[in-house]
Amino acid sequence: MKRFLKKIGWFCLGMIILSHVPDFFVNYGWGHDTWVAKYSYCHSNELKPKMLMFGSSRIYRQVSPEVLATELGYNKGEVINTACNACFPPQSFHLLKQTLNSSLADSLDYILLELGMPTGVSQKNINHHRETYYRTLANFVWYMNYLKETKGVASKAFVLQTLRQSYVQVRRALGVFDFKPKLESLWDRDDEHLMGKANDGFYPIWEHNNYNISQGIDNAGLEKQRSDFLKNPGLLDERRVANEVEYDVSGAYSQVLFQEVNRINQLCVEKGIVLVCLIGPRLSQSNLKIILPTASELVNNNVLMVDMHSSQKYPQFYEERTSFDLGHFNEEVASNFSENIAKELKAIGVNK
Amino acid sequence: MLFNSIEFAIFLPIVFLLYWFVTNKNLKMQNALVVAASYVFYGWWDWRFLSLIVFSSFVDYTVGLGLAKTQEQNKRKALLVLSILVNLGFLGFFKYFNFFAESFADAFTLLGKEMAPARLNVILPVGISFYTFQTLSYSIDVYKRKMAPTRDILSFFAFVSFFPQLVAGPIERATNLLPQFYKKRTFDYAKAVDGMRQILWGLFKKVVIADNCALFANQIFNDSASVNGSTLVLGAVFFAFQIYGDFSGYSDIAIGTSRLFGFKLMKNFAFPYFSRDIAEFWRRWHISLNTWFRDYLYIPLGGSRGGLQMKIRNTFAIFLVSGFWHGANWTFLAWGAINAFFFLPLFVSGNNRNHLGIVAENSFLPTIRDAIKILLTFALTCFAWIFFRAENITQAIQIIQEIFSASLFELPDKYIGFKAARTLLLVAIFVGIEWLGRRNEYAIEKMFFSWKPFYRYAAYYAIVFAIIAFGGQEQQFIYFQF
Repeated sequence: MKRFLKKIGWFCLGMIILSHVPDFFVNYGWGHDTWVAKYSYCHSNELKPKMLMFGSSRIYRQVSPEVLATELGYNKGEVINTACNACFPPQSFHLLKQTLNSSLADSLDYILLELGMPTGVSQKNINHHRETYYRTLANFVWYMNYLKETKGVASKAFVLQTLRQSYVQVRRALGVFDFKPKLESLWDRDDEHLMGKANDGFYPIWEHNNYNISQGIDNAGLEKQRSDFLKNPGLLDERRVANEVEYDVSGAYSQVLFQEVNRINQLCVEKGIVLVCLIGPRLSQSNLKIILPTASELVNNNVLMVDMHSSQKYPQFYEERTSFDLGHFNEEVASNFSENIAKELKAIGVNK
Repeated sequence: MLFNSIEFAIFLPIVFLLYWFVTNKNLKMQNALVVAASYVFYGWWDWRFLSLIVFSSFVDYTVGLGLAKTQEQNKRKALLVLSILVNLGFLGFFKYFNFFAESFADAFTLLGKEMAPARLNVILPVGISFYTFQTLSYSIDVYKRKMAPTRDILSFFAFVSFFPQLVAGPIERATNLLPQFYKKRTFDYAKAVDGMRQILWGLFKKVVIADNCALFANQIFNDSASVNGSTLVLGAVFFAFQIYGDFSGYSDIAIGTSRLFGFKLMKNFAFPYFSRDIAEFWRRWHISLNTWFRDYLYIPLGGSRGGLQMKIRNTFAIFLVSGFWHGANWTFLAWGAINAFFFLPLFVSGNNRNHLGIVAENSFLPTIRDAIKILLTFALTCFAWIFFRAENITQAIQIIQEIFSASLFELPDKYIGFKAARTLLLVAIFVGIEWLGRRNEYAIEKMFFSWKPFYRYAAYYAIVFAIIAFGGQEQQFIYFQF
């Protein structure tokens, strides 16, 4: 039996190693549909951005580059919102690192990066094609480290689940046969509307909602998000309370998250770019307990930080009337959010 | 739970480890684990239908005990009838009720009376045709005193629900599988490795061959009205390899998985597409079902002992019932009838047992005569598959009309491009490997034994990566619907 299990173990290990071989021969492919739309827009219009943003829909849907540009003294087209829906670490980090290797980084002065949980993929997105392309060997190692760091069986099980779902999928495709054409087909899609009305990458959730309805596109996802929130708006109050509390930031932080952001910071420094991290509002208590101590450690390590989570400082971000759903604002407060970010950026010396 | 799913990839190692490390000391515990694992495996698809398996198992177990208690022929017969009624009753209710209701209504319409058929809105429980036949074989064998009834309820429930072959066979006989649950199993390295190899080959057949062929077979059959004859021929060929890869692949995975747990299941396929006539094809295709029909239907009907008329009647009966077993549709009946027509001339002329061994037993290539016979048999099989795959008889006839028209000599038009050519190349490689391994239980059973470990493992990795890289869009196993 031992011999049998050993052989199976070695065989599987060999398979994992061999499955990464094509990575060395295949060009990188962007795999997030929204990102591809934004990236190709910037390229085809030869934009030379000074500031890019990376993160999830909480940036994509809520931070207006127009407002930031006005407040920080940039010209139109110099601040681009390149955050994407359902794009959390390690995906957002991966996109950022790949961007640093692209011509888009040549003109950059600043990168605004949303801090999120190390395995940010949510249950509903777990089977999406865009959750596969960033599963490289490096990210696999990072995941393994995060698995080691995660406490509790349920959390570990979730990390494993996300890993097996997307990692196995991408290994299945080996990045060569089926996967590459899928990525390539993303370029043929007519998704320019994802850049938003001002073509700066800011596409508010309510506008996307209206667009889907007007075009007859399946809008069940957004509708469900909204109706779930309307059914149980009390959850927002829980978030408000969670974001009111003063957390002990000297406690245990996520080594994995800390090291990765530090690495990204180093890469930015090498390119002459300033990295600014952002802690968004409406985080859950469990996420805050990890993100806040990590952010504190990053600040100690000279990483610039903009903290927007406090419900005491920003009560307007925690009101039902200013919400589209649990995670997102509606039009009433989105520009206010952008203005406040601009203020915070100014305060730490951005574009002085 | 599908064999080619991630869920099964997690489920199997867990059950394997529990089986050999936790319950290995106690046979009862081991059998209980098999029952529990099998119910999880089945319940993953729809737990509600577990009750059918439990009920069916319970009835046949009780019938077996009843048969042991009484020597009175009438009582014994009544018990057997009870078992047959319960098992075939479930099958009839879930699988054939709507068919009979509709056919009845159609018949009335033909007589000029409109009738709305009473339809049941029920789904067909996965694998019902398989496990009912398996459990029925137990009652019949006990009735015929071919085996002693079991008093070990756990073993019996494990026999009925054994997860590797629960939903798509091989349909095991109680005489073969049930006694294996009575004996203590010990882990055998060679058998386990052999099992893994067979699983690997089964996955290749399913994921690389069947799923890729399915893509084109589905496209062509779904659009049969607008494609030319040569494309339809390719569609039938794609379907022939889809159904073979799918079903024999499933059987390989089932047999291989059973080997991991120390069980030996019967062989279900023996390279049927290398058959030299239809009679040989039917000895090599879905062996477990065909021998079931032979033993429990054909022989009780009188077999080939009577005169010519009886032989013809019994042959037709077995082929029609076999067709009907596959599904409640006239297309399956037609498929069975066509095969009976192909088979009868051989049978009546006494040529049905001309080819009992494997083709080219002692040579690398077949003789030209054998090669022509193989191609001809394959062509006849593909012809019959058209009826099997078509949605209805009208579509099947339309396809055959188009095939036997001038458009047969046109180049294939729609759906046949690079990907189809790639799939045909994969099929050609597959046929080559099957040819090389045709003397074995399954194609790669002994294929790499003489190779140095480096090359042997390279071959295994090549198969794994072929599964990964060329895997078609995941399709459910065809035989799940039967």
